[in-house]
Amino acid sequence: MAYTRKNCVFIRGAARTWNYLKHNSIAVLQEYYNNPDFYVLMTNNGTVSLESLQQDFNGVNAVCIKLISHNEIVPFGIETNSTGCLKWQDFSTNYWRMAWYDYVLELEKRKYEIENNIRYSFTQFVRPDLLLRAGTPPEVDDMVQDLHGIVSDNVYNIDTDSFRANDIVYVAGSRASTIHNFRYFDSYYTDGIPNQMVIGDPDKIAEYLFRNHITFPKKTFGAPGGPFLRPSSVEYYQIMQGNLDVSQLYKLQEEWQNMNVEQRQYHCDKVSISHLDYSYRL
Amino acid sequence: MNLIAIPTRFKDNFINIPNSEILWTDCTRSKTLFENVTRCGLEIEYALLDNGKTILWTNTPKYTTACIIWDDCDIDQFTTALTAWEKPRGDEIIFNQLHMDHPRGWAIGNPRSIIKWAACALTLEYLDANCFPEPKKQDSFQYPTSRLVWLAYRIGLKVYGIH
Repeated sequence: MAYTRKNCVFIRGAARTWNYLKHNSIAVLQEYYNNPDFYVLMTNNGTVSLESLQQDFNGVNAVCIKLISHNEIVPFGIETNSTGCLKWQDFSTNYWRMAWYDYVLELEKRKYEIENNIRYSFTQFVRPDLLLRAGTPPEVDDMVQDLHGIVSDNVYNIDTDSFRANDIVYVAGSRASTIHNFRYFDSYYTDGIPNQMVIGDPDKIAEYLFRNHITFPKKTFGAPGGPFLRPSSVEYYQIMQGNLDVSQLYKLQEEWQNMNVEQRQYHCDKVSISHLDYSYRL
Repeated sequence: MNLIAIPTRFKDNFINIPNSEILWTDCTRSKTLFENVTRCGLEIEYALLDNGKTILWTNTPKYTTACIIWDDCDIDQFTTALTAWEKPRGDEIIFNQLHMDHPRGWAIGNPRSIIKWAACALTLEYLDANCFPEPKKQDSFQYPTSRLVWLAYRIGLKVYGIH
């Protein structure tokens, strides 16, 4: 069948430090995936606008750019920041928010695939606040296997030391990404099925993947990924751009984790980032 | 209420299915059966959106069942099945036939299972071409619908056949 095979990238979540990282992120992803299609969805907290995002992606294949209000998407009306939840319905708002974002983009992705005779081999999922660095390109064999559909159920995780996928950055084959993007409609919540034991941080998607038979392959490749850029690290990043010490970024990240609300808001104000972009975790 | 997506070419066949809302889906540009199914699934998904939100996560969902019909079928059998499976659970999907020697023409299920399954159908095109053993020796009409059943199992749904 005469379909064009391409790759696509989902950039979704609160914009946070996106305005400082956008040139780097787009350039890295463009090169790694050889002009992929971009699907972008960010929370409308004021840090970015639709116009600014459209301008950011001017000149690349941005199929979909959307902004969504942060309070529109919780399926169960539950606001919780608890960790280590044992039941699906106790998963945090953050889990369901990202699940909804992925679903909205999935809808656009499929529509675009059908209307334009494109089939995506891989989908990379990234957050906007990561300082992306070029990864190791996949073996040709990986790509071939995926085209055959055999390993397309696998999620490739940049964190190969862990058996879990995290919510930071990961790559999925065609069918795996579709299944994954439907987790918002997970059927184990309201259907009278006994609660499933799930362990760990609610932001982690691992439990969903296991239950849907999405397992990790033996071979993994290093997709573009990298450390967070926090508001308190922006100044360092701007000064050191050409000569960045990544370990210093990790150190600054740790400092950010230990800051209280006022300190974080001070840093957000300093670099024009909406408080709402971070307030969920405070 | 049932939500039924049917390709427009069957418009004359399905006049009256009780308690149902029919979404006529333009599949004229589809190249494969799988693309037909995915197009129908997309139509259902759009019907389940209300101003950018989903209407699925409510205590009293408007639609309890979603269906996709992709081929000629026995209407009486179909409506009987619809009545019998009035409220399928979130991970249930029902075909008219599970046996590989017989073709399938429709699927009924919870809206959540139907849309997930229909979305994944698009990825079957490559399986069809590369992975199933000697597909060309099989009846080209029957065999692809077996892949649709295989897919339903593969994505973790509970699969039933009325035969």
